[in-house]
Amino acid sequence: MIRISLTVNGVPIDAEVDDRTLLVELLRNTLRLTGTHVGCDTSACGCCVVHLDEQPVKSCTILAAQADGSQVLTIEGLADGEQLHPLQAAFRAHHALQCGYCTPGMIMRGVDILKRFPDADEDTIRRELDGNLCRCTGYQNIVAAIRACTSGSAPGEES
Amino acid sequence: MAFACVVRSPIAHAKIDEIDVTEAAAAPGVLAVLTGDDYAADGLGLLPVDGIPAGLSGGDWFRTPFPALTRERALCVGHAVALIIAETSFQARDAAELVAVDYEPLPATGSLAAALEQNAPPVWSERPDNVCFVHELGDAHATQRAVDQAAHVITHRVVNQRVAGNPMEPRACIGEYDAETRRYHLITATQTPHRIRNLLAEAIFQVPPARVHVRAGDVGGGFGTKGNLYPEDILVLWAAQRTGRPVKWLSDRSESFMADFHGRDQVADAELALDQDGRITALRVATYTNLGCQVGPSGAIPPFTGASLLSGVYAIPAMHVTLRGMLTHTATTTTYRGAGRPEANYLVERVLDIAAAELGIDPVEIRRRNLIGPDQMPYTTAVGATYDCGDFPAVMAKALALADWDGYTKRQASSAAKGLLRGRGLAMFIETCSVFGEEMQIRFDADGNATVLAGTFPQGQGHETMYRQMLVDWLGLPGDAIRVVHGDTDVVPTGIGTYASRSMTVGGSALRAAADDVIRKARDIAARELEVAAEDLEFTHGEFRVAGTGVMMSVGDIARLAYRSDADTLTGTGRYDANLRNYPNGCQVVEVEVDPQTGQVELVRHVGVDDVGRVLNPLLYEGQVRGGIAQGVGQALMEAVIHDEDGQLLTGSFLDYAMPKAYDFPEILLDTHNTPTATNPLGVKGAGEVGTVGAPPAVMNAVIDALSGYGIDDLPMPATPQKVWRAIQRATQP
Amino acid sequence: MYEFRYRRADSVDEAAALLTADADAMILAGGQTLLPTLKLRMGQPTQLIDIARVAELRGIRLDDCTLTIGATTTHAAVAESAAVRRAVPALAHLAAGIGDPLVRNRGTIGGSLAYNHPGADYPAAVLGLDATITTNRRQIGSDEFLQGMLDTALEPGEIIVAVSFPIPRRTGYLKFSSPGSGYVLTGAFVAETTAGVRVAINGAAPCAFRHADFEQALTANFSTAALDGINVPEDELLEDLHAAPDYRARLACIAVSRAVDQARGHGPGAE
Repeated sequence: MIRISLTVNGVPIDAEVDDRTLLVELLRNTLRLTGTHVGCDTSACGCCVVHLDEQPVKSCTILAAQADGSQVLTIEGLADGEQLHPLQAAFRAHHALQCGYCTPGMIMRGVDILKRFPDADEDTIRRELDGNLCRCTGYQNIVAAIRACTSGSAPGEES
Repeated sequence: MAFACVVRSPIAHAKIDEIDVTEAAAAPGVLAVLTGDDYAADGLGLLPVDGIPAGLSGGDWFRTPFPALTRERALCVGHAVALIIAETSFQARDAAELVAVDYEPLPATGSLAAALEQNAPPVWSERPDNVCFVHELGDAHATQRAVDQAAHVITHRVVNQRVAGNPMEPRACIGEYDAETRRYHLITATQTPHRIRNLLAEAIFQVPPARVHVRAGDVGGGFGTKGNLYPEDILVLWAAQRTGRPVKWLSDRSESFMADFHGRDQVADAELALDQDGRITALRVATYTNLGCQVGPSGAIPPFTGASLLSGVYAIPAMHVTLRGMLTHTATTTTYRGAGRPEANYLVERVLDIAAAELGIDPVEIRRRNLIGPDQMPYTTAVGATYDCGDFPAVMAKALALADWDGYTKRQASSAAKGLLRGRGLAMFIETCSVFGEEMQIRFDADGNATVLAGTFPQGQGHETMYRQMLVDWLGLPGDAIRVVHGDTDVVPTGIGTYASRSMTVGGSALRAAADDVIRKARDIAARELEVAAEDLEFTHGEFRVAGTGVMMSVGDIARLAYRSDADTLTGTGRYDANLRNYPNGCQVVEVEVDPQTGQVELVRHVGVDDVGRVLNPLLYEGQVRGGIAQGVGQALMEAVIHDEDGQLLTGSFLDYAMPKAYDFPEILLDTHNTPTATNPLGVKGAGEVGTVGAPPAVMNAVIDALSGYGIDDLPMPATPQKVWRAIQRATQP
Repeated sequence: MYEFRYRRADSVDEAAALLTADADAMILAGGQTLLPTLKLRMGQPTQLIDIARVAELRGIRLDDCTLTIGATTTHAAVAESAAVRRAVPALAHLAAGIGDPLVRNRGTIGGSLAYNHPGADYPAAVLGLDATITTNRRQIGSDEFLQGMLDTALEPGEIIVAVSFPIPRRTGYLKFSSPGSGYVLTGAFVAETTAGVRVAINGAAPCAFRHADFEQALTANFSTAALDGINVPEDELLEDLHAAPDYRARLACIAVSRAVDQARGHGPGAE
């Protein structure tokens, strides 16, 4: 067992966990933040993406202990109270989710894509989603939702 | 909460001499270790099978025993042999490794191909030839005559490889047993809560259905793989009863490759008879579907349903289909999106392209010559399916135009300038939807808010939006005054679930009936309240208006009024039974670029035009089609569940099983050419599976077209880079 | 995963001492290879020693002749480094293609090299550029460092501290990825240096290897035309579901050719 302290969505957390505990397990089982999902066991699917010290990472491939002293942002921390993050709003408007299982990981990744590539074109967005799988949507509306939030598109632009 | 871990066979076929659980049972945190012997001793039942019709032409089918834990033999890699229940999931996994199973390996029939060879080891001694069932459709004599007299006969074997549905949410379930009420409570990721409840009650625990409660929350994708009763659903309930604790089972992805029922896995031998003008005079098909080692609850549905669609959209005067369900030492198969229709359409569309090439007829033209015309509707095919409506020529024309079929040569030249081979392919398809019936209920509360109790159950299809939209349209209720309740067998009295593209048709039609029931009752209440005759009220946009006056009452007003006397006054119940199926159909056109040096294939253009009767919600509809296309593209270009000759699973994780990613797709252009169907009140045809049915043949026809310059006329799915490269090597080296 | 104890080291010496004291302890840097392996229960270390925050292992330094990258530098950091892009563009291009964007935020050059998986990218760069691996004990040349499948010259208790790349004239890296895993199926790193051309092929064999015929031909004439008629022998190449030896051999030639194109300023990834 190991004691760890970290900040999750702005809230300081202290926990004692089995050394083997993955960050995603800490988030889901200990903190009951179940918006972050587990879709595979080979770090392929990206359903578990969160931000660790402002970088998107796969929380299934990080020990909770490795996150000691760090800041974690999950999907639950993205909205500002009742106000959805623009990318969350875009996902809704563009029907970029069906079952919703990959969605938190897609949005957390998407937020970072927009930060790093504010003018991303469709090709760039598709390539930058290399670490995120979706089985329901065929990706088109996910790409459209992210594209709608780039600085190159006008507000309310539909794909 | 206690945690379950299933001990699974690492061998495809073995006699189980002994299972020693002593060390496992003594491991830290372990509450119980259960085996197949315990299962039998507790009198638990076997998983039943749906979908095999009575009166099979080949005689009775073999009912493979399917207990939730196997006893004397392991019959596939991943076969569930024992169950550990422990305090933590770590402890359950650690203890699972301590179960000592004495396996005596036996020769295995590790694939469908192996089963079709001579002397393949039998999975069950009752069926030495591994044939579980045989059935014939059509007219053998007429077909033989047509084949004998044909100007051309195209003979071709088609392989539709095994794939894994892989919804992004792996399966999970929690079982609880309430000793006081003697009720079983199951939370499970399922598409069919009531079906699971009924099967658990009738077949497994043999108790009245009221003693079983099944519910599901948000389900992260299903695609048919979650539409079954699975052994793990049974195991957690049984374990909960044995230990007195709630028991949770979570599948990780590697386990799901072994434990989930797989899809497809069919080989078909086709003979297409044509006259000298390329008109089809007969089609004879023998299909062999791999059922796995044990027939699953839905495993028999794909071969039977698919066989009934083998005429495609074409007027084929004579057909003879022989379908066989084969047994092998592999995991059970089931209805994966399309469930038999992708297999059938793939066969027809590939054979047509091969015929076109052999006869020197353009692939569009050979289809035009054989399409069933809109004036021939309703059309009963030679395998007994009656297509009620559709305009196949118009659908095809629209798809070709959307794909700019005529502007292809320019694009081909620009690919060539980059050193790439461009190919194009098209595929028509038809499929069948909407099974069983559904009951829907609309209830109101004191404030006039409506609750829909739905027996359907989505995994991302957007039912909440659709049903809400329907009640806004039909009853004029505000959107935020409507909520949908589903997925709980204690709350929703009856239901079937969501699969086979049935929810809008069957659920929506039942909701229409329920809404009509509400309107009838509301009319009577309004008439009494407004002191007029019921016939003097006009109903539009959710309001009852006294004709010629401004006096009106809304459905919401009536609901609030009615509630004061009796909460159930306005409750509307509707039932719809899909006695007539509907037949969505369409055309997909695809262009690919192939790198002849490496064999890599890139999808550069993908167009789909569908006839889904009516589109109720364009966003939801297009989402379903694109999602289905993505899965079809996956099967065509990269997905396959592969076993070696000993039945070892070689594709056991996402490391080896390739899943399509965002950059594997261009923008997918969609359009519709709808002929509303009279088979249901809404005029809709099921849209959930059309994408998956049409994509594989369109993609493969394009890939093979790209390679046609080498004289390559066929390539099995998936068209991986190595496979394409090797085909080019074989064709270009002496 | 099997049980283990997690510990954090604050210095290289501390990590080395912990390793030496327990033969079944393992170093944890990014964990992008190690943790998936442990999750599949392939490996049973007693301890994981986290070195991610050891300051002396971080950083990218560029001088006139050498680019030095600290062992715990992430792939993302290498890909985005202006110094790497300027000095050895193909190395930045290589780092930018490892795994996926999320993995690149955690995976490290030291971790990749210490594991020496046949499907890894960095071994090709190390061999192609004749990099020097600095450990807590010594410096190891590229040819000696990579010894075989999952095998390096590292001895028990030895930890990679930094990797130094001599700055070449021109470089190119091109790979074909395995579907699903994203590992390198076959790839080639080509470097034109003052001492001639080096060609390293990864993914195809159990370990990255150099190809003398390609090197000689390209040293005489650094162009794709020089590659005609040169083949990669199939024996000893890997075989799996996705690629048999003959296909890998062919891909290796194509990778070398396209890497040369890239180094010369044409084609994908070229500067």
